[in-house]
Amino acid sequence: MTDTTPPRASLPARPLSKVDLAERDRFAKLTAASADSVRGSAQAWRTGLAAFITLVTTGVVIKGRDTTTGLSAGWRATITILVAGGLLLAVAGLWQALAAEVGTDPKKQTLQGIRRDHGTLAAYEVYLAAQAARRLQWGRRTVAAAVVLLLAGIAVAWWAPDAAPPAGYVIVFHGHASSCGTLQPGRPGQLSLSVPGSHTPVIIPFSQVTQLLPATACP
Amino acid sequence: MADDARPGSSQPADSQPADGQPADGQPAEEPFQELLGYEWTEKAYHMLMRGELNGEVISREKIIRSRVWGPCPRCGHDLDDRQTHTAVIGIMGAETRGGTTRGGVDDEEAPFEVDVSCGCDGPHSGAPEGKTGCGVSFRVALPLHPADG
Repeated sequence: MTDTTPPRASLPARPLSKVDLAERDRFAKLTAASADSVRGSAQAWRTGLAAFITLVTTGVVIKGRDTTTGLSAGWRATITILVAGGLLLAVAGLWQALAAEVGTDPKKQTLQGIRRDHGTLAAYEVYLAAQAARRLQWGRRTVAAAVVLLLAGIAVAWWAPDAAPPAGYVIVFHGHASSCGTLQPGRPGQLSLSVPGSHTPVIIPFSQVTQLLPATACP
Repeated sequence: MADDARPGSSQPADSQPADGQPADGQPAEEPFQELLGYEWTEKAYHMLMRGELNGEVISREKIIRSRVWGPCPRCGHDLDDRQTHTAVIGIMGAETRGGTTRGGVDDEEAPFEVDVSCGCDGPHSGAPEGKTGCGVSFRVALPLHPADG
């Protein structure tokens, strides 16, 4: 048979002192100040994080196009994902910090409802402060992740290898034939073409050329 | 002297009514006096055990609150002490339990100690301006009940 008797009060081992009462009263003040304390912290964090993100993103926006122009599509896509992900996380994090500061999801509350759910108004205020603190913590973590992504995007933009220059193939139609290859320096009046798979360049007089087409590869 | 308590020690602590409780059941007027002696803690404990004084400590969403209500162990006037024992401190969102000798210890099996001061509305001559109650303070140790749904 299990004992279902609820635990009862016990006799405290230590006597009460004036210091205990003073601490109790000081702690009550901390409790009452919880909401203001969290809101103040959230305000400071939001301002700081916003300034930091502004600094980073301004550099990305201003230099981004120039920095990535010479990169291959793969590296550009990587940088785009990192920077876009960073910006999205930054917005989400700052939103959380803002919500911690000013609160979201307005609700109508009655004192009776607060007493039923939280016991006292002070406990309800601490509950709201704890919620705001959690939001602020998430906001800080999210912005930290955003900063990591943005910095990674910048680092990749700095260090990614330049895209290989295009091969510059041309298809030359001459007479009833055509040749494909890359242009080489040749004699005046002639077109010298280095053809893949052949060590000897193909020489075509200009007078025989009927059409020139650029190509990314030779058939 | 603040600790100069006199909880009516002519009778055993677990059988006597509140100090200011005369035979007719009406609280007598006690002059205001700051008293913290352990005997008041003992007396409050015995009153709790007899069901004369009531107390609860409830934890909801990790926010701890307490309520102690019933006749004051000294003056016998009704007291209703409500406290919140959790504060959100600083930017890290740290939740601290305090107001007791075990602040910061989160052993929910151990009794939770609450320091209570009489805050009754009864008349007490010599009370400092703005103070209510007869001046007695005592400590109760109550089980912590979670109220989370």
